Amino acid sequence: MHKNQKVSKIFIHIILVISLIITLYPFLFMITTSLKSNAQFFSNLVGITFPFHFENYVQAWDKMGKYLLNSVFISGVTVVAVLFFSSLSAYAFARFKFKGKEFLFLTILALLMIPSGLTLVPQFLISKKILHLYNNYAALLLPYLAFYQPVAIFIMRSFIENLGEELFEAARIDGAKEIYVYRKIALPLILPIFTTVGILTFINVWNEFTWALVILTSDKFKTISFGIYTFVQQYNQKTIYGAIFAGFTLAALPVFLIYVFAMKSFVEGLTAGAIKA
Amino acid sequence: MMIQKGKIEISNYKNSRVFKSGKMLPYLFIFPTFASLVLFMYLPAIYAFGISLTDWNMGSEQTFVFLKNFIELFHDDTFYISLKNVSILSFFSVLTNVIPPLITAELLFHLKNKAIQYYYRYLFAIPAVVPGMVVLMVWSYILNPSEYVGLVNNLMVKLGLGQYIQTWFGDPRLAILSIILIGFPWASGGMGVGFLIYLSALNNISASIFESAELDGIRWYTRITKIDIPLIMGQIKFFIVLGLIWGFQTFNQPFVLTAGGGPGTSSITPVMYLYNEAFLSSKMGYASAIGVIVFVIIMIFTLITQVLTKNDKELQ
Repeated sequence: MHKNQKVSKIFIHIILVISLIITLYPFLFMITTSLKSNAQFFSNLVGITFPFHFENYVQAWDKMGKYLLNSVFISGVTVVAVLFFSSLSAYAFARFKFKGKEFLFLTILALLMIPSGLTLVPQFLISKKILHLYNNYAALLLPYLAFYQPVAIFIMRSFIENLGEELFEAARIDGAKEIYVYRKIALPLILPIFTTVGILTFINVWNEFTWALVILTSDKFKTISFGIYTFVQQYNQKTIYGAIFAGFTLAALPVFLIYVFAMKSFVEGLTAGAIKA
Repeated sequence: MMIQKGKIEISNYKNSRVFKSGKMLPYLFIFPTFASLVLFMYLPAIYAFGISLTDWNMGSEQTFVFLKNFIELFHDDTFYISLKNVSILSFFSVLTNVIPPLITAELLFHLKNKAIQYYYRYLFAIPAVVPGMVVLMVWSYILNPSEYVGLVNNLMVKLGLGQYIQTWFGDPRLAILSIILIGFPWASGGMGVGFLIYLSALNNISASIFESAELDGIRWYTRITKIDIPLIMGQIKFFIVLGLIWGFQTFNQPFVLTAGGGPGTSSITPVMYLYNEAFLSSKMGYASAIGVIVFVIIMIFTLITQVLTKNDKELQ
C-alpha cells in the first residue's frame, strides 16, 4: 500500500509538471521572444537566446506606452468609482430594510445574465447619439462604471451580510446618523473585500476590448487591449518581432505584478466565494 | 431603557428632517448605482428590442418594419452558419472548461503537502491574470502559418512532420479548431480559475465520506465517479452553464484572429455577424435583431438548465 501511494504521488507530480509546463510555455515564449533580435528569432524560435535585446522594450514603449498609460488611468478611476458606489449599494442591500429591496437586488442580478450581444448596438447608439459620449475618456469611464458594479455589489453584499450585526446596532442605538455608521464602522470592516473586488474590477477593465473597440476611434484614447490589436494590425510585417512581443509583455506586466503582490487575498477571496457557489 | 431612549431620538430625528430620514436613506445609497445601470444597461436592453423592429441605418430616417428583420434572418444562410459555428465552439468550450480543470483539481487534491499545493495553485492560476487580448495575440503567433514564425509549424518541421503543417486560422476547415485549441492543455479551466473552484469544492467534502469509502476499499476511479463528481456537481453545472453562455457570445476570437469570421464565413459567430452588420454595414436594425435572437436562445437555454437543476436538487 505504501509503495503504491509513493508511486502514484510521483505519477501525479509528473502529470502536473508536464501540464504546468505546457500551460505556461506560451508566456515563457512571449518573454523569451521579446528579448530577441529578428536574427535570433528566426534562428531559434523555441528556446532562449543570448544576448538579451532589452531595446525591444524601448521600441515597444515608444509605440504602446500611451495605451498603457490610458489603461492605468481608466482602470484606476473605474476601480475607485466602482468601489465607492458599489459599497454604498451593497451596504444598503445588506443592512437596510426598505420597500422593493428584494426586487431591486434581483434586477441587478438579472443584469449579469443579459448577453452583451443584445446591448452592444443600443449602448453604442445611446452613448454616441443621445449622450454625445464618443471617442473620449468619459465614453469609457461612465459605461464601465455601470458594467462593473453588478458583480462588485453581489460580492460585497454577501461579505457585508456576514459581518456581525451588533456593531452596527450599538452605533445606531447611540443615535449615530446612518452616514456616520457607514463611514466610521462599515468602511473599515469592508476594506479587505475592497482588495479582492478592486483587483477583480481592475483586471476586468484592463482586459476590456469590445466596448473600447466600438466607442473609440482616436489612437490617443485607446486602452491597452484595443491598443495591442491596433499595434499588431499596423506593424505586423514591418517591425522586429521582439518589439511586438515586448509590447505584449508590457501589457501583461501591471496585472501580473498586482497578482504577485496581492495574490494571497485574491486567491483566498475566490476560494471563499466558491463555497457559496 | 437605552433602547427606548434611542428609538425616541431617532423618531424625532426622522420627523424633523424628512429628506435625510432613515426611510429615504437606503434609496439615496443605491441611487447612483441605479442611475448608471438604467442609463447604460437597462435602457439599452429595452432599446435593443425597439431597434430590431426598424431598418435604421444610421441615417436620419428610422422606419418601423416590424418583423421584417427577423424574417430576413430566418432566411439568412450566414446567420445559420454562425449559429452552427458557435454551437461547435460552445460545445468544445464547455468540454475544455470542465474536464481538464477537474483533472487538475483532483490531482492537486491528492497532494497532502499544502505548501506544494500552494505553489501549483499559484502557477496554474497565472493564465488568469494575463490579458485576454495578449493570450489571443500570442496564440496567433503560436499557430502562425509560416514555419519560420509559427511555433507549432516550426516544431512540426523540426520533428520531421513537415507535411502536416497547417495554415490554422487561415484554413476554413481548421479556423474553428484553432480557436478551440487556444489555451491548450486547458488545465486551469474557466477564466483561468476553474480548477481552483473545483479544488475548494473538493476540499469542502467532509473527510468522513472519504474515510468510509476507503474502508469499503473502493478504487480511485470509482471514488471519483461515484463520490467526488456528484458532490461537486453544483460547481460543474456552474461552469457548464457559464461556458455555454459565454461561448455563445464569442466575438473576440473571430474578430482578432480570423479577420472577422474568415476565411469566408468558416469561423463567423452570431455576435461577430452582429458587429459586421452594425459597424461595417450600418444596418443597426438587422444587427439588433441578431442580438435579440441571441438573447432569446441564451434565455431559453438558461431556463432549461434551471428546470433540469431543480429536479436534481429534489432527488438529492
